[in-house]
Amino acid sequence: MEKNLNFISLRHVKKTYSEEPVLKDITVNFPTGEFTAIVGKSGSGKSTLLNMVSGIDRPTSGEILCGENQLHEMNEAKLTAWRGKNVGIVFQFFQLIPTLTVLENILLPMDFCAIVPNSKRTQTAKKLLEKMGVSRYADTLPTLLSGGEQQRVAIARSLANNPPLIIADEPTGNLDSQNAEEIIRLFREMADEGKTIIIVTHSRELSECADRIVSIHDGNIEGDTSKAVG
Amino acid sequence: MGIRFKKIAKDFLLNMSRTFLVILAIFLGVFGTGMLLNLLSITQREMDNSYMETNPSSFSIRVSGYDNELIANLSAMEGIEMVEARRTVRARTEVAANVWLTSYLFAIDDFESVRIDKFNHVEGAALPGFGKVLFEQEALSVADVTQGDTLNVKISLNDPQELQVTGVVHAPGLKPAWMESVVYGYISKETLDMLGIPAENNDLLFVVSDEIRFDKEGISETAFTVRDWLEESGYTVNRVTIPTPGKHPNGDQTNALLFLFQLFGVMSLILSGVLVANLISSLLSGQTRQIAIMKAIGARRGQIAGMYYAMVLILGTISLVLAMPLAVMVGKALVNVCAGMLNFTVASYNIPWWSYALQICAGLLIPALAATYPIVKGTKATVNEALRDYGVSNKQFDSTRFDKWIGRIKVVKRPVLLSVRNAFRRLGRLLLTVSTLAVGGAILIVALNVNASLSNTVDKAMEALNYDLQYYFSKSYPEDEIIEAAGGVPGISKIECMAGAMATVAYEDGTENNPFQLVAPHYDAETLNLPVIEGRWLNSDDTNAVVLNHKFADSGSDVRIGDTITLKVNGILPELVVVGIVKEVGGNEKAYVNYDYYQKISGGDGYARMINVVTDERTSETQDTVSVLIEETLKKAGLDVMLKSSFSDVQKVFDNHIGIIAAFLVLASVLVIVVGIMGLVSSMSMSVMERMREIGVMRATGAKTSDILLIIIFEGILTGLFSWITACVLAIPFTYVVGNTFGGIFLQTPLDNVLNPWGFIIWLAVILIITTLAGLGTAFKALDLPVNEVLTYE
Repeated sequence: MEKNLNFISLRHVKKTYSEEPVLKDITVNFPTGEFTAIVGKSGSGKSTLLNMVSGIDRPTSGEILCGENQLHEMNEAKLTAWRGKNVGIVFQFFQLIPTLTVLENILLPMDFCAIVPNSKRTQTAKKLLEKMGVSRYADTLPTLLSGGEQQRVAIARSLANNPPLIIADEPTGNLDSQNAEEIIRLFREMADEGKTIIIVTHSRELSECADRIVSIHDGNIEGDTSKAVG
Repeated sequence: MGIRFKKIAKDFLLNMSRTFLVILAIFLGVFGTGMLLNLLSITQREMDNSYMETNPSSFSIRVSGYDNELIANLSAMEGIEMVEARRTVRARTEVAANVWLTSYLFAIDDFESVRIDKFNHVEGAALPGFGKVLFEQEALSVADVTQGDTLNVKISLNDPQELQVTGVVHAPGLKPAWMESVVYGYISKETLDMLGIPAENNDLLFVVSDEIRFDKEGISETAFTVRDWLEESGYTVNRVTIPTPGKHPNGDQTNALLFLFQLFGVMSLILSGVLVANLISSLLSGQTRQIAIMKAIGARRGQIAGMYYAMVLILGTISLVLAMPLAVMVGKALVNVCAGMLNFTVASYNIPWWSYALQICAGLLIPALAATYPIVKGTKATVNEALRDYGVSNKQFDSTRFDKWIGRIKVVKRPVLLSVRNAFRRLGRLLLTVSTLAVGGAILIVALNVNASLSNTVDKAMEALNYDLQYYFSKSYPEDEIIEAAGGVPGISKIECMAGAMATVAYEDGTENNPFQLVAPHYDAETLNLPVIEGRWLNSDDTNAVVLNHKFADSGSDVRIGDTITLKVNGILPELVVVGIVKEVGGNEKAYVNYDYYQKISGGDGYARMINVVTDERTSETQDTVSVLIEETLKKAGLDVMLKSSFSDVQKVFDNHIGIIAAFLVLASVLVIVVGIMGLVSSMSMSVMERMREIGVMRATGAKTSDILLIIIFEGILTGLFSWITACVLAIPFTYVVGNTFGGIFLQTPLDNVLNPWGFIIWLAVILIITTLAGLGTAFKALDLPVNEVLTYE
């Protein structure tokens, strides 16, 4: 029944770029509802691992399984469809569309994936902004917001289609400590609400907040520590 | 409005300059193509309609001494729809003191019932009274007269008579008077009598039945049946003329012009397509990261592609909305210019559906096709690849053999070396920019080369006519008499006499071709210097040898060197062997035989029909002075001149014929320069924008303003030079192809193609100036931003 417990599993995943191995032989499971922090030095392969999980990159060899889906065998179109339904992504540099307002940035993934009914999209987007504490900026262009505010919008966007998995690459890497704390709190809340969270981070605070810490070194998993569930 | 389309709209507004350039590029393509298509379609249709409205004769027979009963009998013959009689006479009109122009006078019995070769009343009197003449509208300016003026008209050996211009008509079936430098007039039979010509008809005009109206073979068969019947009935047929059915007398020139319209229409379409591809590729490259983000948040490839196709279609629609009405307006205005020059009436300005369809295709389909590669490429990249895109090649420089070769260039300064390497970093972009500029440059160079080739062809044609004045007498006169009379005129250095007459080729089946001029020069004549295309010129001992001009050889008779042809000249049928074909630009079909041989077969002894005169100083002023003196002298000696032409007259006719084409080629060149400049400026600006971050890094690490300027400008110049070389390489063969095709249509012979160095020089100068200015403009834009902003530029 391991299959049902794990939201996503990687088996003997290898990835090479220009004949340089980045991930050497990774086997790891990410159980449903768990908040995992992936840590490691620059160039260790942690972002590549995250890209494998989110389906924005594909392994050179090995398997990536998510329920009945075999991600490693999917073509780009199928991966996109899967991602739209299952994954919300938060980037280090927020990556909001600069020409759209904050509200429109949230509406865009709903428009692409058509999971949320058209009549409920604006209401859902506004609720998400409210939840992230940035609803007053709904009609503002993202470039006018601070880094912390932009990252909250990015998190709201990642939740637009209510995906079960949230992926974040250095979500606090570009924020001051106060904003970083707020973002960490938001991730914790999402995990508590049952989302599977996988983040790559250098931040000790953020990793301490996670249920589990996976350490990567030179393309291999060096450590995998889970907190005792109370 | 959906969020996706809102995004597109906002992207437009954010990238106003890029968006404007794309719209402008599509606009120019649609406008150029549309204008030419509209012009082409209306001109072709209206010229044909205007000509067919005159109910042009299918053939004409020159015969005399007939009456209305004969006309009735001919009308009843099989294949004949209608017959009409008139008299056409060649005359001379005094347009200034002692300046006489060749004129054609049409004497008609009943002006109100003209049914063949019709003309329209324009103003003044509708019927010419006794001593009056109706002028064809274009002839007014040629003769420099207005309605009410009088002028002297002289026919053949008779004394000049004064005629008053009392009305103006429009005859779309005639060659434009200004172009031919001739005068057309319509007179009554009584006036013809006053001019000393019998008031009887000499031409029978026939229109054949609808079944064979455009069938040249059917018309010929009917024409020769009629001729045989006339001869059997005792009439003497002087000439049968069969024009090409449905083709205006100026059809060759019109076709040449239409060929250029088509050629440049297609070229502007290609140029616009390449430019649009270049611009859209640049526009999309700036969107790479956003495409990645959209994919990351769930957008499918088709959805993203749909957004960018929609963007291109919106831009195309905006361009179409702006360009199509302007293309209609300018096209129609140019139709009026063409109608004025080619003397046809425009009854309808309706533009056919296919012209609009092609314009819509140029505005929507071509940009969409041009955008396909960048859209496919832009949306194909995985999220990961796209997020890592830095605006320039995503593969490592030095990864190909070519990169390695570029990398090894170390003989120049480092900033210049950077320019060289930068130019090759986006090889696809470089190729597109070079192609845009090369196509533009090649069109300009070809246009100027064709113009120069046309002038060169005319110059060579004029060199072949090594005389200043030519006189064609009403009948043959003894050569001694002519030399004695004209030889004493001061200012003359040489007179050469030539014999000749109108002739036809008599075929075995009893038919003949259209009449042509048979000229018999002395074998050592120096005033005829026609270049030999094939075979040889006449020798002193030639007897039954004939040399044809290229127009004769190409007139469908399929005559080759060594063939024997039978001519019909003055009632005799000499058999002649074709020994050569000469190039004679601008003339009609002609054949040349030895003077002595001609005297022998025609039974003459030292008679001549025409003279070529060479003046001492060979200027147009001398020609005018000597011409007046010769005319007076010949008149005193009783030698009647039927036609006179001078070197400057011929030159003027040539200039008139090629003027329109030269003007069109220059116009097309200007359009191309504008599009080419746009392509270069946009490409350079895109290239700099893409490397804004890199420029910031260079500035942060100590690069001076002059270093950045040098790098950007040199890169632009380098791209420009590549395009210039490509344009030159493309233009040379293309010049020959266009020159040969155009010459074939316009002059029935390939042009004497030359390469005009100015085309190459002008394009090089344009490239250097524009690359420098565009480089300065874009570099200053990059240098204007603070380093920290440039470093985060997206």
